[in-house]
Amino acid sequence: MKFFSFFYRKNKYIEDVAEQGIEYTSYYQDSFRRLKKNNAAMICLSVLALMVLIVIFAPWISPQDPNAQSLKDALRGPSAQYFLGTDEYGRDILSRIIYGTRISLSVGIISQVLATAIGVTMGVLAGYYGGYIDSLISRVMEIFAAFPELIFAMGIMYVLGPGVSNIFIALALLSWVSTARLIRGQVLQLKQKEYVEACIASGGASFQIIVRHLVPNCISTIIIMVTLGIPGAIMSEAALSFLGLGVQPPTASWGSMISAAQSYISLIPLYSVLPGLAIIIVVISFNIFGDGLRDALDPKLKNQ
Amino acid sequence: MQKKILVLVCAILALISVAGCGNSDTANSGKKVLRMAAQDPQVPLDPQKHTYSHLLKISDQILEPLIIAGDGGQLKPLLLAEMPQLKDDKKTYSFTLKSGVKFHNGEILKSSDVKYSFMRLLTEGKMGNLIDMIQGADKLEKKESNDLEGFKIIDDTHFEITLTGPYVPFLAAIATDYVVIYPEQACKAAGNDWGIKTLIGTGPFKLEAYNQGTSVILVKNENYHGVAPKLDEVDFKFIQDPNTQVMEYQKGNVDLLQLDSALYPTFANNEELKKDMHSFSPYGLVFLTMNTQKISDPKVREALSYAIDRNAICQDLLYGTATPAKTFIPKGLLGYDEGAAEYAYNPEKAKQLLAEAGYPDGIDLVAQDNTKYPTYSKLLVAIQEQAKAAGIRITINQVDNAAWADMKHSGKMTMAVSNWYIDYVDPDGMIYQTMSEKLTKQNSNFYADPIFNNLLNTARATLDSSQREAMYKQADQILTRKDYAAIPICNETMFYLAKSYVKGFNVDSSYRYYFGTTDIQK
Repeated sequence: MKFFSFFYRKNKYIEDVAEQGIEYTSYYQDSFRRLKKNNAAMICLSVLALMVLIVIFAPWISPQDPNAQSLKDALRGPSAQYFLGTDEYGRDILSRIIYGTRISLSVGIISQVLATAIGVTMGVLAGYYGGYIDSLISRVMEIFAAFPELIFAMGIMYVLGPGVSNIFIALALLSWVSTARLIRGQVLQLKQKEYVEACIASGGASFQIIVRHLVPNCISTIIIMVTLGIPGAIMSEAALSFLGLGVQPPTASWGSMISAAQSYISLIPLYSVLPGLAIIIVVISFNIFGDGLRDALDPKLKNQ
Repeated sequence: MQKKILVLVCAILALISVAGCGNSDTANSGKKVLRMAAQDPQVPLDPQKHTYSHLLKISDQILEPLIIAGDGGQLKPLLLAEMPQLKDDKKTYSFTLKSGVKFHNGEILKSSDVKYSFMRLLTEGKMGNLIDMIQGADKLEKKESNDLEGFKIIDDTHFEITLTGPYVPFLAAIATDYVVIYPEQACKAAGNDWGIKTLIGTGPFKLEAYNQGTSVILVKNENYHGVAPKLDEVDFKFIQDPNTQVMEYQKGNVDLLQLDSALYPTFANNEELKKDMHSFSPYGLVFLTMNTQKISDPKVREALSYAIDRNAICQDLLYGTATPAKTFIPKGLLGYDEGAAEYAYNPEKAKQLLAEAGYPDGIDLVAQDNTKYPTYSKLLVAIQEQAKAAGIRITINQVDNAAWADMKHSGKMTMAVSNWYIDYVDPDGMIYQTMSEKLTKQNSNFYADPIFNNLLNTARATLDSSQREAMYKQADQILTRKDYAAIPICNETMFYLAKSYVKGFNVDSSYRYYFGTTDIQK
């Protein structure tokens, strides 16, 4: 796993072992091998890869402009021109679902990256320094965690105003607390490890200890938090858009499509079912993949 | 011993079952109950303070104004012995109350109750501007006086009202659902419970229970002063989702409901529902209101008007449930200009106008969308797409009802789809109540053309109806063809579903739900 190698200095011992012809596999290589054996997780990973391709190539894949109205063709069923029918403005439902993928995935990923950035920083600071800083950050976390999630998100959206970029912020503010708590706990444990004490004893700066030793050792927790947090964020976006606080018209998002489709549920059920199905597929994929990843990254399962 | 107990138990069971039958029999025997699916007004049932149409559907059964407007705006005395007499000074009306009218609590209606209700509307109500031309109303509203000077009580059944000057629509204004008469003592005693626990009027039905969030139950007023109501009970069931309302109707759990126009295509194709569907066209208009300070060039506003394809909106987006509007004052009111040309749809002309106004590359505008009215949200999205072809790029900001109203009152709104349904059948109720200088400040429009305002002010004090008609036509022309401060879009048709056994019920263009003459004949 090249990606993580920058965290580690070249290890003379490993190189020596390799030269002697003894097979060495790193923690992440082991994990990836375990993940590959998990068929369900791999299928979900390919579904997600497909979704990413859809996001990138949306303008080429979608048969029509998702915002082009043709009022005369409003609320039609599937046909050769409109594969999945049209909405109340005569817009192509398939194209809107394809473009909706962009919103859902970007909201899921960006808000979780933001949440992780805040959560890890806060968690590490609280866990490492302890004392007043820990008390302060812990109280802030408790305040954030005390509100019911959706109500809290709605409150933030009222203050910031609707729009996609504000959804990123609202959902990040909503979900950093759980990351911060886990990281704080883990840092409290890691702080007691000999290598950290050794680093302190040999005069290592706090910043160095945090960046070189503490954060890299929390990586598996962070990866799991991100993958499992994304579906939650996607659902929250759908809920906010359903309530009219999310993306603004005419932008297509799955949540706002379901909201609009409500009125026509008995006329063309496909209109509300399809975006709902899209949400289900993405959320289940992220959940199963996240579960698989957690199993794979768990060193206790190494020899199973 | 055991046998005796068994016999006793059997006897008790038999008694209970017989008693149960008896109860359910009396509950169903001949009692006529009308059940209407309704929207929860979420406020006390006090139309002086809250003006939602959901609330009026309920309060119109309980409360009554002095005069009532029939179809076409024909005024009839309701709590009066005869129509008020206008004295020679053209500004003083003398009233005689109908004798023996009793409130639901048994009190007799007196002149002092009328005065109390008028003063309450002016000091605490929302629609005080309906009667603010009564002498001394402004002092009362500003709390400079504790009395309404222009209201003189002669005796318990006679009183006089003096206006600041001639005002033609006065009688129509006091015939609205907001200028209802409350019993002074009971209303004062109830305090904040008025409209929640108690609500007493003179209407054909009495408030039995207001179960907030669930239902309102009304029962027949046995001592009603008019024709005795035929229904024993009216139940309003609060069902928020329009789809669920219709499902309850199909199951037979409700007898009547107003149909959300977004649901029209679903149910127009349903044979069973189609025969229960009735329509009415209330006097009013759906229009685009423009902030004339933020969008100050009339050419830009005119360009937007050219960019809207009203026919496509009415025929395809609203499924033919609306007709393109060509004037601000709708058909049926004095001053409606039959000969006005239809608005043309011409994106090229719109581009040309924008270029003349100094925007050859198009213009960016912001519109605020009230999420409480899905049909108007739909309209705005369609307009957004149509305007794109003319180079007008509209950004829609969705705002919830409370924030929208707040923006509107504080002058922060740029542009919005808005509607207005008249409260009294007079062009004054349409155009003065929305576009006069006094009121445009309160709805982010800020239109203040001196000639236009002069016409409105003169017309409301002019007694000659042909002169008034000419003035309103001219004012409409200035507003919608010269300055485009409001851009008319369409006149809506509304629909309701009523079971065939609901007799004697009809909603006309006054948009009033009234069950005083309704019957159920199964």
